[in-house]
Amino acid sequence: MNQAKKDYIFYSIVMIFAIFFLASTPQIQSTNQSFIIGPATWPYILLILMIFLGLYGIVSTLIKAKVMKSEELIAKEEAAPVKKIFHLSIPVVSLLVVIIYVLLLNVIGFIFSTVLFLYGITLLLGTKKQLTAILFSIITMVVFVILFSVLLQIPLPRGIGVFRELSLFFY
Amino acid sequence: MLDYLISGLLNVVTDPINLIMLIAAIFIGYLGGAIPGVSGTMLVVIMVPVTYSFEPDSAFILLTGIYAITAFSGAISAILLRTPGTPEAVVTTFDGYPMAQKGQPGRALGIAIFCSVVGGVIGTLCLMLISPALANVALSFSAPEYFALAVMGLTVVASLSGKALAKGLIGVLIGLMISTIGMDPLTGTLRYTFGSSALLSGIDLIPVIIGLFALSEFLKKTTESHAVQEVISNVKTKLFEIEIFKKIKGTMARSTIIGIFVGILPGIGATTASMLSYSETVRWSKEKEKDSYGKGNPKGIAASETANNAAAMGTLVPLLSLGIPGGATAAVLLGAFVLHGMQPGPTLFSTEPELMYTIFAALLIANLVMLIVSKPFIKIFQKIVNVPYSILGPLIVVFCVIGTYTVRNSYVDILIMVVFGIIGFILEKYRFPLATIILGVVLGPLTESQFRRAVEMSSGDFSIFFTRPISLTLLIISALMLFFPLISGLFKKRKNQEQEG
Amino acid sequence: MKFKIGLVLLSVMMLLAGCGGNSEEGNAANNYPERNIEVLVGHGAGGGTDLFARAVTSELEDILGVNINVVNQEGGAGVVAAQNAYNAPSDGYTLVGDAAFPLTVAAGTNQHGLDDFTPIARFQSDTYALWVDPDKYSSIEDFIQAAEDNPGEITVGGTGSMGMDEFTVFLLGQEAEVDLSFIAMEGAGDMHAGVIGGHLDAMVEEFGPAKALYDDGSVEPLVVFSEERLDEFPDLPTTVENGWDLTDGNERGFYIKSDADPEIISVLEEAMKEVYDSEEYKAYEEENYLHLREGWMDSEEFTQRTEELIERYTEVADELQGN
Repeated sequence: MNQAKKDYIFYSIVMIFAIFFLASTPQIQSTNQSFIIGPATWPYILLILMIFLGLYGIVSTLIKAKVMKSEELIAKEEAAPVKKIFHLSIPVVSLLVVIIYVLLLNVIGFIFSTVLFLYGITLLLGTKKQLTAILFSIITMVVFVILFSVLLQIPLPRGIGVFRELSLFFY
Repeated sequence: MLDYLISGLLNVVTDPINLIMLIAAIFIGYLGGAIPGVSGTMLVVIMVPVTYSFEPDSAFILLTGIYAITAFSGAISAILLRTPGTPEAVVTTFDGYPMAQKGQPGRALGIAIFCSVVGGVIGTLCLMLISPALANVALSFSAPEYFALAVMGLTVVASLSGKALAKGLIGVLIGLMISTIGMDPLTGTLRYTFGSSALLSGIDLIPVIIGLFALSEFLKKTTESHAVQEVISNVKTKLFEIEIFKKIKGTMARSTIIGIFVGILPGIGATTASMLSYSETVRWSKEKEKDSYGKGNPKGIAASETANNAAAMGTLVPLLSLGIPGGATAAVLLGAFVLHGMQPGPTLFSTEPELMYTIFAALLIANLVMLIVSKPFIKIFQKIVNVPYSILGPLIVVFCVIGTYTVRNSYVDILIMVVFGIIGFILEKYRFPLATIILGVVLGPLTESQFRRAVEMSSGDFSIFFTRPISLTLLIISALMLFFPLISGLFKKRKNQEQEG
Repeated sequence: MKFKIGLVLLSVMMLLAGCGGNSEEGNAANNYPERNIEVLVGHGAGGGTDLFARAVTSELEDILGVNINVVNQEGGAGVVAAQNAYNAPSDGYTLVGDAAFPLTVAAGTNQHGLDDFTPIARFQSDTYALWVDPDKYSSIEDFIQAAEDNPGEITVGGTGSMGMDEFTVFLLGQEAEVDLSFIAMEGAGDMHAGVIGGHLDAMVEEFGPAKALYDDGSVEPLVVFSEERLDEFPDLPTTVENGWDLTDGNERGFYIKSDADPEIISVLEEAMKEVYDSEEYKAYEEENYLHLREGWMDSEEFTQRTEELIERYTEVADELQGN
């Protein structure tokens, strides 16, 4: 993808973002009539500026792209061969793992989701030894639980049902 | 006065219990602050009940000591992991992390510590010597002045966005929009909460910055982790390098002043101080140097770390001389004073001079001791960079999650952090100036609510911004700074054309 | 190989989890409390409600013999904490410490009213006063005169919006028939600085936080929002004396989910009464000027009181929002 294409996409997303928020701005109803400047004024200013800048961006990219075309000097993307898993690049897989971890946090609690996450991600990122991965994930989880939930008395997410009950044994 | 200070110093050093408290404060502050998710406020809140049975001087050596040390120690994880350990260290990630990645973690930490100590010591001296005068300055600031200050900070966006001004402006606007989410602080109206009660109090700065900077960096690095680990040759840790000091001394002087002045304003805080100081530093740099910010410029680290430590001490000014808590930690300290049967305020200096000077002495010593104890700490910490990423990366993710969660024990904040992680990952590939978003989020509440508050105070008279001397001055300065580059750019163009012609 | 070990690990955990779940069943109320209790506080660390919760729980821990963690969940003046407490099981191990419960219910931001929560006990009925710079106004008559002469231009600061502070200023304006301009400040710090620095004409504040400023003479109370004069300030007129029916203040107490075992509620109520009567708690109240009015109310009284307040504030909220 060349730079101009990326710019188009970026500015379009900014516009969509701004229009979406602009559409939901009228819903902000001042519950308090006595104020001189209401709560919706500032968002309106920001969003209108944002749309204006988005348009400017698209137009200026258009002009630039026309100039560029004659030169056809598009820098090569740094496309190093990437290792892939199930046709997905590693960052995408890692991201999915992180998302699953975060979603699980509220279901099976910090203790179990963290151990599973650490175990999975260390292997994904290239740790060869099974034992290292298992020990690392358990020890890390224990350290975090002791530090935050026992010493600092911050109850980390417990999860629901049996997982909640179980976490109560530890903190 | 000097004899009070000397007796204060002696009180800290000779009393074994006080000495133990000071060492405990340094240890707790150092490690606690370095761990993302443990903030200075939290540590002080936890320690207050512990100190209930102590003598007042030991209690306050411990509490203010922790407070002073955590103002610095958040920088450690900001530099090494790109995850700010405390909110005060948010801005330190901008240049600290890139410098560490260039193979100079020791140097980055060294600059951070040296600048923190300078900022902290000068801040303490100001607190000790000119508190009443500073308190009067703080009192002359109100909504219009706060707004003018925020405007001055926002005009720096041009310098922060490099060559892509349109993108930089969009970044700031996004940041400002993020800060409008939640309950409007003036009317209590809900804005963009979409029915979620978790969004009532808005999106906090910490999930945004941890997502944009730390989690996105993790995602980026996962590709590299398979490549052969390039071992960073350890540069010797030097706390003081004369060449670097020469470069950053101007920045340090300016940042100390900004830090103290912003710090004394109630409700503004060290994070905003370091953001403003960073923007000014970028603005005052030479044109060709501006590109190097965000890529490991030592001045960037110096600006942030000098200012936040100076501001941390500045926050104590209204607390001790007026009895007004300038921030969350100051409010907890105020509670601690009450717990020990004292009321902070002008009378405290005359009723409890020994205690006051013992506290000042403890702050001075804590700041100076930081220089000495830091060397072994840094030696250990900088090795973190050499830990294989398959181990370090996952740890950072858990830190991201906990660091976000503990801000207000909110699960939704973790989800917000992940969303910003994805946004940051994409935007960084696109070479977007991420710092502009943070600028918007930090200054957003200040800009909007103080503007509206000022108009409310004047019953709808917009001239309030121009009839008050401080506010007018600040606005004129920001207008000059905004248009100066444009005008001087025009001049240069014309000159060039003339020469060519 | 990798997956096998992972699978074994997972099943071991599941097994552990299963065992854990079953052993917890049984008659819970008899041996309550068996483990740590969490008190959710909807305000940041260091604020009035947070300090109140911490002061009570540190005594309550000794009486109940378990750890009690105060968990700060800032947001919407306590709404977030109430929401999270509502989502937690009704086993009696999650309590809410709140000051603005009737208010958030009345304003409609808190969806969970008395149907979902039962008040356990009230500890404090904090007292407001109207504070000014003594150089500006010398008496409440002066102040009201100034407000009559400059309608809508006299600014009164308070912290936050649609909270107790704003309600108080609004009601004061109604009762005294003057047009006051309420300014929602960021926090106590910039509000105090606003009054001393002359940017605000007055503020509504409780006695504890204003005490330091009062001691050095930078602020002065004009009127106290209570029925009777205070022993500590015998010369300070009250609102009721002026013919204003306005004595509200922050009422701090604890709440629990309504479907919790009634026995658990009475265990907590008794333990809290013991805290309230303890010397340590009394000392804390006196240091912070919280003893000006009798605070204690048991579950029944507090429930009734909360009901009345919700009704009263619903009317006020409607008027304030101009519906």
